[in-house]
Amino acid sequence: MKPGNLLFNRSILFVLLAFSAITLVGQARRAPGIGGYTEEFLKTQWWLGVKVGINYTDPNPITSYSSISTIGLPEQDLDKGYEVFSLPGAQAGMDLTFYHRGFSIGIQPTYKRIRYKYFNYRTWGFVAPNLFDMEYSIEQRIDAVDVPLSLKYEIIQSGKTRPFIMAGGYYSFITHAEKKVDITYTDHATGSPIPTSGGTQILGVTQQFQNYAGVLGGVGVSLDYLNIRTVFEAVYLRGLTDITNSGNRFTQTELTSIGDVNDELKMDNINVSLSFVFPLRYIDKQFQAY
Amino acid sequence: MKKLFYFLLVIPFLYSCSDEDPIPETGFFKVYDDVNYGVDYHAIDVVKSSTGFIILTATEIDRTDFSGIQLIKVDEEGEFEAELTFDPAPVLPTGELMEVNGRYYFFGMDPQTIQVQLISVNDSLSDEQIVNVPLTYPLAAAASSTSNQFLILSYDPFNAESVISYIGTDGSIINTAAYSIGAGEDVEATILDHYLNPGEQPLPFFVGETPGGSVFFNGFYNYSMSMVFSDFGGTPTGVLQGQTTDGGIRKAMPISGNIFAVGGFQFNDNFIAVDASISSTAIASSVDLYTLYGNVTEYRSYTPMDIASYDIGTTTYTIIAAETENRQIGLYIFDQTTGELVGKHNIGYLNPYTLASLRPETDEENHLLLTGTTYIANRFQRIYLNRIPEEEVSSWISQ
Repeated sequence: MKPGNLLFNRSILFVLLAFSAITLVGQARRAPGIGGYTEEFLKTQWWLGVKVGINYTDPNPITSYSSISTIGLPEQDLDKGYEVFSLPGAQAGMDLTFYHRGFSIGIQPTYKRIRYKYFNYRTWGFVAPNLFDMEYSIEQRIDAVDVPLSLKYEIIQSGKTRPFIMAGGYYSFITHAEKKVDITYTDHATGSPIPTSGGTQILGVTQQFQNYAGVLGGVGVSLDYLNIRTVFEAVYLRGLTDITNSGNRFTQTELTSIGDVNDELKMDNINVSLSFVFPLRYIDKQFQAY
Repeated sequence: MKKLFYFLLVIPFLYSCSDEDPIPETGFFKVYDDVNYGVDYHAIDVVKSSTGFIILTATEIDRTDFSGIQLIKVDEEGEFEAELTFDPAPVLPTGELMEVNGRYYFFGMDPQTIQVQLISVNDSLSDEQIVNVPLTYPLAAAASSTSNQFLILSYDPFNAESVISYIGTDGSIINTAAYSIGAGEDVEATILDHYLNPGEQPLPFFVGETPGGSVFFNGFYNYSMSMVFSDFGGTPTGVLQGQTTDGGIRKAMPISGNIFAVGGFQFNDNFIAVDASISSTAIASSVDLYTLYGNVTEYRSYTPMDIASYDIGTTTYTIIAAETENRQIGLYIFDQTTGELVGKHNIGYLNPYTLASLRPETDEENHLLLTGTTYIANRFQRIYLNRIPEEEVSSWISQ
């Protein structure tokens, strides 16, 4: 990790969490407003629950890298081909939200499995039978703990169905990463292509990545049925920092041996989640939420 | 509720504290590929140049059975910049690749006259100079501690002698001595076979200087592949005898006095030592070192070896490299002062790797350079160059 990136990441983290703590603690100390008990309950509330969902990833290479350098060929022939939003991932976590008069601020620490796919392709020779192809198909799996901080605004602030829009930022701690590498050789020595498997490798590559941060925006709807609030939301997470560890790029012999090293990469995600949250304030024997 | 937030606040900082010392981005690992289906590359040595790196390679050329010469220039990020192929002559690229006054020298041979030639190129490979040297069949070379001189081991087929010589940058012989390889044609046939078909068992020719001012070479002397010490007299001052081509030394690096770091072989076994006592004034046998230090089972039979002295901070390490049984490069790192093994690291995975050269960059960035060949897709023999930052080497050493 570049010291600059590390400092930047830590700065973002500090700002996000300091803002979170100050705001939420401050709000928690606010005295109840004037009005009826039910109205007060609806105007100001803490919500806590669980959140699950799926995600899709759009990897955005900034600078392409390879452990192959070609003698007499242009470098772009080494560029990887990325699939966009092709493989589903999953996430599960906690949803903690403070609501006040249409606005909510929430933090949702989430454990997340991200997946995306890319290809390396090489060919030798020009015409069969002196022609040979090789393809690496690589599924990248990343496990991360997302810590998003988001501000929501309810467009409709009454009734049991409350659509909202949201925006915020997030910081992600990468806990594990691995690559599943499928190798396919195609030999044209007999005049026609004969594909053979070069095997499948699963490589631990956690050290090739670093924590990252970004901004998010999304839409959703809160559904207040069955004495529980169900929140359905779709969020786009825009990565702002490089997720790869540039210092370790060429240090892992398992990767360099097969010609695959990480590009400098930012990552966008679409998260679709379902939360089940419960009110935390004023729950007692005298009050029934719904 | 507040406790929960304080807890969430603390977790990231606990994470932040776990970061290790970062490795700078100056390192790289590159494989130099060629789309040509039938071409192979054989790395010999690499040297840091003023704007990147120059790799000396052997390649196949038409109209001769000897190896052709190719130089590859890469930039400081390891990307290919230029290549220079000598076709049809000179042939027989013979390292080390040596820098003198901004030019990069190595030896070759005229295939018609079998005369040694001293070849130099500039940093961009745009200018080459070839001068004849009054010797035949180059076997190994190294830079001399005396400025503008090279030490070369060559073979004289007319007198069946191993010849050790100091050569100036103009190709002139400054000092020379010759020692018989033994009567008969068997040894000469072995030497010629080394040129034409080194295969999996290349002969470990090398030369060097002792701290005491004499020179040594590993070559044929009295029928055996031996490490011979010379003061350029009529007879060697000392010999560490090998056992024909079945036992001997593969690489030696002087540490101090009579102490050497060595890698050797005894039939299919290998041994390494960082504090071997080898007298430059006595007759001894390499098999005694094998008996003393034992077999390194990880290394493959007849592997090439290289040894480098490498400083990190105030500590000097001896690093021994060789090919493992599964065709990785196995690096053993020793504390040069205590002789203790302090680190082990392997380079390579999936495709086979071979070793050509291990040497530290002699600049302030203190990278370690490792070069050799690998077989992409298990078949296309290509050169690799690994530039390893000091911080990465440090991570291989147990604290």
